[in-house]
Amino acid sequence: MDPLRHPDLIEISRRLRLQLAQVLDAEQEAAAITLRRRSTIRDRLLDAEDRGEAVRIACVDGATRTGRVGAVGVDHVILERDGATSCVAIVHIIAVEDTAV
Amino acid sequence: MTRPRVATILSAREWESTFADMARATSLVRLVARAYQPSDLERRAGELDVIVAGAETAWVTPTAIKNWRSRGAGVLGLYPPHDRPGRRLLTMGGADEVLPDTTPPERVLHIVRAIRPPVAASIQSGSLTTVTGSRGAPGISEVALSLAWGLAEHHPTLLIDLDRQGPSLSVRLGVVPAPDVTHAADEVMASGLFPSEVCRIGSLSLLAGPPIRAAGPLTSALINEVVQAAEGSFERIVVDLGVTDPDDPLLYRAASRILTCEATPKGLVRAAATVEAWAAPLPALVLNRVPLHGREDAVRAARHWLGLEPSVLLPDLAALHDDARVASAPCPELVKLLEPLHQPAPAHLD
Repeated sequence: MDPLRHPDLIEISRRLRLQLAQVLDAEQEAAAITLRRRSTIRDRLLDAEDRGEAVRIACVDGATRTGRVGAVGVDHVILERDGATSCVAIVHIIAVEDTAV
Repeated sequence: MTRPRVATILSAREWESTFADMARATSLVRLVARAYQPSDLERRAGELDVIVAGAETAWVTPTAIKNWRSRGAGVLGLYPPHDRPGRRLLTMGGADEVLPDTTPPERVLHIVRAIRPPVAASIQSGSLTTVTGSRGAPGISEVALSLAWGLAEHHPTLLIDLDRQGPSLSVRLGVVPAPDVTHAADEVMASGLFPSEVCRIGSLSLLAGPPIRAAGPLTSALINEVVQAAEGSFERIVVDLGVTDPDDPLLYRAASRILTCEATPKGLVRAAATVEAWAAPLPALVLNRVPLHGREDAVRAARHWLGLEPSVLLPDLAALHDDARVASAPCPELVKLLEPLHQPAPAHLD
């Protein structure tokens, strides 16, 4: 028999459950913040590739390119649109936006 | 073989980040989400092949695991070594694989690839109806009770009293307030199942409101668990939310929402403030205590001040007041008047 099912302990077990849930929520929030702080533009592009999403990329020269992320290399990303592909050096990217092709 | 689409539940424990790094490095799976909140998974429902979840996350519960599997996603559960309750939780939910979270990530990845997603079950929709209103007793509980009473004639129906300020439905019906929502939460967390015995009044099942002193430990996540578990046992669920926060998660989860408003200047002003803060899909409006000779004025005022077209007008009848004051079934006339709300109807905004 679970001792926490004892009638005298039910209220205590509920409060402990709440405290545990609050601690776990706080830990998970910390993990989410850490993930955001450590992520890079390459991570964002990898997410888009795995999700099969299209992005709009703005580059340092002012040009923008839109397309589905076909592949992400160590230093470049390949965008696919209308059967054509373009390769952009990650070091030239200044912004990445979600978009629909 | 295509790469499975996988989501992890974001965790502070090491397994999650090492799994994500390994998934990226090997490209064995598509890592499409690292979910921080249940809504992160809801947004991708139907797209996921496997969900990798750790028992240490507060919202990973047996009910949640069953829900994911019913939507066609396999579940791999990880638990901290020696955490027997965590392991039990995952097993109880029916996770496809359950492993200690010290399992090497390469092995976890290969097991993920081997999991065959279950066939998605037909998901009940349109089962949950919430009834709320602004402060000032506009008749929320009586509307919830009468609506549930009418529904119970045709479907297995559960009425849940979640009015935090004044859970009164058991008093209204003259029954013992047990089991209540806190008991149901205990049962759902312990067994993953909705309590087999709840209070029955005729064909209606009632889950009494929580004792006010227990309102603290009863979190939104726990309430969500109870409602999810109830969805497996009842075709229709009506929740009396009382005066609630417009951001209440149940308002988003519900298939239909009902806003009760008293047809008086004060009632309309209070309801206008509620509608102003409303962020969930628009509710159906029940205009209560409408004067017998002022129906058109009341409707016009509701359109003007709330931007909503009333779905039901409840007249200001002595019989309704009398029936609501004694421990008995709701007034049959009121039950009939609320029949248009048995099917969720879109609300209108002028």
